[in-house]
Amino acid sequence: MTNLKNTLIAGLGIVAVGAMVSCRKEVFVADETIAGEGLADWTTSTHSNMVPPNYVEVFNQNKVNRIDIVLTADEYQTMQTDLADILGSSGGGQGGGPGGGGPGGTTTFSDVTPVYVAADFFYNGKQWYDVGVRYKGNSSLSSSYSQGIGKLPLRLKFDEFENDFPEITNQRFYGFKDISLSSNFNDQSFMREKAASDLFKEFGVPVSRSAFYEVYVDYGSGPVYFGLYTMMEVVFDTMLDDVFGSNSGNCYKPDGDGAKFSATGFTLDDFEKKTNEELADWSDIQEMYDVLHASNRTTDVETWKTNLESVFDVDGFLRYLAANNTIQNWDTYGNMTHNYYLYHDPADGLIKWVVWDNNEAFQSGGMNGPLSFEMSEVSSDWPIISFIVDVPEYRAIYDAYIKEFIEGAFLPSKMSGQYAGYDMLISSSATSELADYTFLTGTGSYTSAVSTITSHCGSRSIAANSYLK
Amino acid sequence: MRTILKIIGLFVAFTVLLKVTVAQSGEYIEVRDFETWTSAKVKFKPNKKLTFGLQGQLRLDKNSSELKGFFTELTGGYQLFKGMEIGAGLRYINKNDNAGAVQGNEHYFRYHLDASYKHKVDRFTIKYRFRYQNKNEIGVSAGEGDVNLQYFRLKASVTYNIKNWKLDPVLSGEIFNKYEKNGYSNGFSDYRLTIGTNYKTKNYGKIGVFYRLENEISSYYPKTTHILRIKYTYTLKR
Repeated sequence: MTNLKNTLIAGLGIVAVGAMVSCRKEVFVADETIAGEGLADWTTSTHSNMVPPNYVEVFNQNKVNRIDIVLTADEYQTMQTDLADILGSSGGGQGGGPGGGGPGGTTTFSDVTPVYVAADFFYNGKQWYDVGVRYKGNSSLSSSYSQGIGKLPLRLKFDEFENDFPEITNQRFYGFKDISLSSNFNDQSFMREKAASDLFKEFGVPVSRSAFYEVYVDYGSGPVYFGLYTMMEVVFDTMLDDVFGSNSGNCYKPDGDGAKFSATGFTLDDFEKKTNEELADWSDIQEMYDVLHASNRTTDVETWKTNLESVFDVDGFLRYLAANNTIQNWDTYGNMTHNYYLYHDPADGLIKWVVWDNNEAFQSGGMNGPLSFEMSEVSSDWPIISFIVDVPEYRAIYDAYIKEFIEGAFLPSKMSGQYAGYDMLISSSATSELADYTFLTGTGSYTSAVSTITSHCGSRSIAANSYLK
Repeated sequence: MRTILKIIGLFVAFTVLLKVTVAQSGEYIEVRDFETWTSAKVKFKPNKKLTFGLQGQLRLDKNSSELKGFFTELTGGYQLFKGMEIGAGLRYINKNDNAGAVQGNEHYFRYHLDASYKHKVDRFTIKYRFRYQNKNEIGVSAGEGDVNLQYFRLKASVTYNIKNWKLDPVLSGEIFNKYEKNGYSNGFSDYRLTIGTNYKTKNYGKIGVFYRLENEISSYYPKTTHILRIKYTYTLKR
């Protein structure tokens, strides 16, 4: 028993000594001492996070730039195996219908993020190092994959692997951390994503910037032309700051039934945070929902309007809605439970609508078809539209925005020139796509699609005028 | 006098300005710590071949001043033949994440599978153990950031039986090989060296006191952890 006592005393003594004598040590690792160390092409203006985004360089509107992504055969195989696992296990692939978040049930594909691999990235003779590259998207990914088309949408994150490779800490591509590469899925004109982005921007609707890029991928046997992509600025990376002058507000990417804001199936779980992720606070979205569904909507419309306008940028939404319905962009709110962002702008405290993913615009078909100008078919399951356009004053503003849109940004004579400009820029890159990496269905399909999208503008102008009469 | 004060003032202002100007952005990385692990375990041997154990363990870090986490572990072992044993364990871990922007309690589930062999050479008892270990965060999907961590561990230990002395020394070494799907730092990741002793009593169970040195291998800034481990084991009687 004495021995036991002694042992206990000795143990406690060691603990006491250990606690008294500080053993813990931290080292300060300055970013500058790591970032770019030993990397020949690294410069502050091109690779560091010390400079603002260079829009002129990255989103050049007058040129189709080329980027090269270089992967080892093993890394490429990792991406392919992961993709096969995801599409196979979720049921979202192999012919899954357009839009992962469509009515009548959702696929689970969008819940699983494909794996990043570390690739070397080349642009204009310079190298970016161990850049995170992964597949992205819902239907544009699963449908292309199931059809055996190698031109798949990609996402780049320039500092994804900074923990594994500290020398690339805070790596940027001319100030951009994230880049989205849309494959122009299902678009033989290659212009929908870009034209929609340019139109929304011109019309004053918050949207990411875009530019055309030729994408080459070397996965072990030399560069392969993956095709003509549309590079999109990532909303929560740089766009918020560029458009709203801040990115400190809550930014959400709604996806799933909750994204409808409907009285049935609303859940905050469907509002993925893209900023302020560490704060478990969705009270702004809840407030918007509560105000939208308040009982005074039918009993005291003026109060309801005042309350709604104090939390939600109704005017901005009507501006968006007018443009979106005119260009017939069906793959978003009103039809699909995704493809938009919400930003709680700290400048005025309002939640603002941000457009995303427009590759299905400028066509009268598509799943369920685009919304009509009247929107009489929109049920109360989509209350942000149906409740708002039920109010005559809001309807009048919406109508005025349609008129402004077709007489300005979307004026047919102006759009003919805009489409012709895109054509001059991209026709060579578009028509030289390889058979296994294209959505083109024949030799004349590009020209025909350009003609279709150009004439679409004229027909929409006539339809809009007819509605406004 | 005024001129001197002005010069001193300017010097102070310059020094402060210089300090502000050269302040760098970066982060502090922990490279050394002292931890204390205390555990209590109940063992039960229903027969000569089977062993079950239930253990609770509490770990302190940051110079043993903050809660690192605690876990409950259920283990089972079966002796295949003399010296050779296979075993398995389930562990529910409550980790106190006290670093970074997102802090709070995290819950993990871990399981392991063991195969061990021990034999005697004179007064030495030598034991080898191979362990496969698999850990996931509970309630967090892979898409949300859960990383499935797997380890292959190889351990060797030596106990020396000192005549007429109850505190036999135990010396062990263990190496960890990490595997993470699509991980870029897979391979040998850590090693541990441990020295300690056990004190057995007939009625009150066994108390072990150990000092352990744990070193990271593959990390860019490898961390060294000094660990004091106190372990109490009580074996239920059949």
